[in-house]
Amino acid sequence: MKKIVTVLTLFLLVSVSHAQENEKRIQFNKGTLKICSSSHMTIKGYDGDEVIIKSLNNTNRFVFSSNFVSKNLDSLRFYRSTDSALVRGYTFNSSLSEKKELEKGLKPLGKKSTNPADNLYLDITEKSGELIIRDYKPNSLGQGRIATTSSFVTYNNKYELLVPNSIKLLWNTENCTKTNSNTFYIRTNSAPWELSDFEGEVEISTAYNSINLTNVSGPVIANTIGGNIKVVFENIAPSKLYSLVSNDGYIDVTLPKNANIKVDATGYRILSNIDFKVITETLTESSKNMQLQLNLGRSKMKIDAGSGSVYLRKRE
Amino acid sequence: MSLEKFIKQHKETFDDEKMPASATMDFEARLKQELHSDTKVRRLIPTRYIAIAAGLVLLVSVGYFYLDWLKEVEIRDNLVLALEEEQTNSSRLQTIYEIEEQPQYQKEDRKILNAFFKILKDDSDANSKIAVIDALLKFPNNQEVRSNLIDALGNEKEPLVQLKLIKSIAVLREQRAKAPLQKIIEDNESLPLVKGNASELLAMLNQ
Repeated sequence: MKKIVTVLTLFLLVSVSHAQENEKRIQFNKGTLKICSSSHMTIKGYDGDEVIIKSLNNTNRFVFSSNFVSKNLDSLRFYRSTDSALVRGYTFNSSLSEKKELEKGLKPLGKKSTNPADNLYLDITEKSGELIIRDYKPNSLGQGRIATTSSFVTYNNKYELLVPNSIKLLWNTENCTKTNSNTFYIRTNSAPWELSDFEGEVEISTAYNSINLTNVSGPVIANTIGGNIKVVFENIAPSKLYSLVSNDGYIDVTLPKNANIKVDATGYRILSNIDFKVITETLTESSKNMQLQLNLGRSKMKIDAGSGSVYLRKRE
Repeated sequence: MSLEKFIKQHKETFDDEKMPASATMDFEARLKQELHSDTKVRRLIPTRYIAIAAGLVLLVSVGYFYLDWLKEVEIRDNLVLALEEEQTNSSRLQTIYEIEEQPQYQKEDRKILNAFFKILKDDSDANSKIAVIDALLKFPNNQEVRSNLIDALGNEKEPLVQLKLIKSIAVLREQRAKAPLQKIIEDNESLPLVKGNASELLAMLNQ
């Protein structure tokens, strides 16, 4: 184990950063796109038929750790011939550059691949009406013996996704698990997860992550523990249901002044520069609830910030 | 004497332009009587009409309220059906918010409560469950509501809903929640934040 850790450290120190910018296109324009990934993602909606994933991973740390632990798959034949972890590492390293030379100018054919690199280190599966994207986890195959924590691997992963407006998006930044085992780790990257210009139905769930929604027409169901939610209607008006729940983070919404909306807001404080008509105002033990209306109040927005505050801003 | 002769002899008597004095008196007396009875009728007719009109209004109102009630029941049943049917999470949530907003549902309704209990038990999305918990908290004295919230605390795995339930139990100060709270604290899969809140509530209930 000590040897393994040494090799890990060696690779981290020696490896030269080489930006990896790859793209994967998957034909999918009807059904549900389920993203169960703690990788940082920026998702945009567009009027197309493909889910386009662009990897923005530019540190060799990521490439190393993922490839190293992926020995169960494509690199298996390398490691069989020797017992020394150190030798394995060097073998692997030299083969990597050779491989890169061989692969230059070529693209993987077909939709399926056993090489995690071809899926941009994501586990992508498709079944009837559902496209599921998960973080690539070699340990989940049951053979991986390298104790590389998922947080270490996924921490550096960054992706940009373009998704068709015609699909439904379920986005869970905690690998779609409700357990403690792989959800509670400290993130040093505070950049919020972003979704913009999307016209389909969305459900987002996060823990200790903030979410930014810009020009998302909805319906939207979003919740977070320990994160903030920011919603901006930059060039559209709200027309469908918005349900935003946070346990203790703030919820910040920017609305156009001509919005026809009813807002039911609960939070520690409710602050705004919009001339809302106050329908009801109730104080509970630790929070305040207000029912507000702007213009005719046709669409509904429910905001529950728990012990966090609610900010309602006018779009300038 | 023939009838013809009699008429000729009493021609003046049969002249209708001249009324005998006695007949005039008699006529006036009868006219007075008639007029008197006329005033009586005039007084009686409006009262009768009012009574009939009031009866009709009452009947229409009862009918209207009955139809209104039937309509309300139908709307309520449709809402409950919408809650129970398999549908998208957003449409279910829309229905919950609609029920929450309507003043007529601020009082307990058996069918709606049952539908809410079912959402709490099922694998519904977190926002729906949180909305249902808020709606149920409007009936803090209902024992069934309290029991269902305690059961939910024991079975729920979603951290955000667990936190909401812990806050609700704190408001209700429900002693029966001690066991499910202990279960959450001892469960290795519980988030530290949830465990912390559960411990705090348990300490409060033990005071």
